[in-house]
Amino acid sequence: MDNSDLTTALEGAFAHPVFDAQAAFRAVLSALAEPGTVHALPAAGPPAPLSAGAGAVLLTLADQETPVYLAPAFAAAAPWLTFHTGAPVTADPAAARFAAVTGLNALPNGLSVGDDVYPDRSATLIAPVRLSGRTLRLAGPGIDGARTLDADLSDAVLARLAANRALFPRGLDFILIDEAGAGVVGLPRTTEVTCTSQ
Amino acid sequence: MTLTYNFAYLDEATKRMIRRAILKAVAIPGYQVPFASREMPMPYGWGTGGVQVTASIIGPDDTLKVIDQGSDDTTNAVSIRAFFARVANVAVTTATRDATIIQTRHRIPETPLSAGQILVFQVPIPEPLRFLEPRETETRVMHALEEYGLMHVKLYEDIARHGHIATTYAYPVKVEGRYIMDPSPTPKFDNPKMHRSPALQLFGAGREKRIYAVPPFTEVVSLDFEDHPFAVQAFDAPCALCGATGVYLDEIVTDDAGGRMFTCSDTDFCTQRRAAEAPNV
Repeated sequence: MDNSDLTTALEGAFAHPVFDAQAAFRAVLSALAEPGTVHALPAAGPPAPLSAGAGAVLLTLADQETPVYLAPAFAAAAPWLTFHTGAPVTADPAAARFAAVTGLNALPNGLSVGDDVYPDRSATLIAPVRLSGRTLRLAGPGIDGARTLDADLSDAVLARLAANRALFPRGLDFILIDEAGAGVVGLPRTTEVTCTSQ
Repeated sequence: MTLTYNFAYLDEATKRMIRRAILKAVAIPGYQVPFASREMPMPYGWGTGGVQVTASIIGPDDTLKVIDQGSDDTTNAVSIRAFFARVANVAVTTATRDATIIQTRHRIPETPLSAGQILVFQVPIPEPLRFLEPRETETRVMHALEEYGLMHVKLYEDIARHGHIATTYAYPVKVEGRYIMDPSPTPKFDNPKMHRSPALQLFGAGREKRIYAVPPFTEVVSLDFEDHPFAVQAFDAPCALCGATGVYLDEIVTDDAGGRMFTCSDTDFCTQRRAAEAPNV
């Protein structure tokens, strides 16, 4: 590691660790409690290409108790993550409590979905999403009837989400980071996602 | 030396652990997520679970209301409100409408909650099956297998013995058609308010080390039978102070000669109604 890598790893924390973590948590909580709504995250500066939003979520939720899986593209963020959170970076998806991936179409195999007795022991995915393209219809807990969300999720991804929902109460939960900004959208395992446009 | 605490009392590592539990609880409505409950500067049974949940979610911009059996001015409510005013320096209120977070012991306010509000329940026994099956290993498996026949037997035995379902508080509910959940010892009068509430409902049990949640607009159905449908308590007379009907009333003993009156359990609701009726008083 040369000095520029070291500087990258040391910088990019929350400006106000206590209050920014609280604000980021409330954004993620609102996002998962009301799937399809977009909430602003406080600024964080992880090494590219890991997004600021994904970095903010990891700074808020990850620590020495939560192994984190980083997609190979995010390998440069590993020293940053370990320095700021103490979280062990794991290459084994099955061991990960959080997984930062490059998209919903690029999920590693073997992520934990919990078991029937302890369905909370499942991985939480952090993935970028483009909030335009297709019009999606969301339904389920947190939604009064139905909510529309514009996002570029392919049919294959929607099928993956439907299969995940069918596992309930087991399943993965998704924290999606708007590629264009630092907004966060939640898709918990309970949300039914269908496409209403082509 | 002045003692200072981290914002909202809990250290950041504890908050992170509780926050992770809350997020999984929201993702699995009605399921009890284990968490590493901490000792708090108050005894178990005084709302340590609710306090830990509130401490983990509250921020400087929040306005906190705390109620104890509907009342803003009983010991538990006053001390928890003062606790957060001191350790988090947040605004506090008694007005349901002005609060962003409402911590409650055993009531849901009469004033309808709105989107964006968070209701935090203090829960003594989170496991609805506990008095039917004492072993945690067994109740875990019963929830996993959706094996809830025992609960219906319990309600049936109520009917066989009393002619009606005699459970009046901590009345079991089914959340989103899956998990049976203890709504905490709220009177069953409040169960319908949980159904499709626009507010997020979080439940913290400190001694039992469990957190669970009901997201907004989630189905919360009280268990019953076709021939013995669920019904809430009804009161013969309106509130003696504000005249409200269709609200939950407390019995207040007024003298040593058997005198008593029935008044709103929700003191904020009652006060606001009386203020509106007599604006010049």
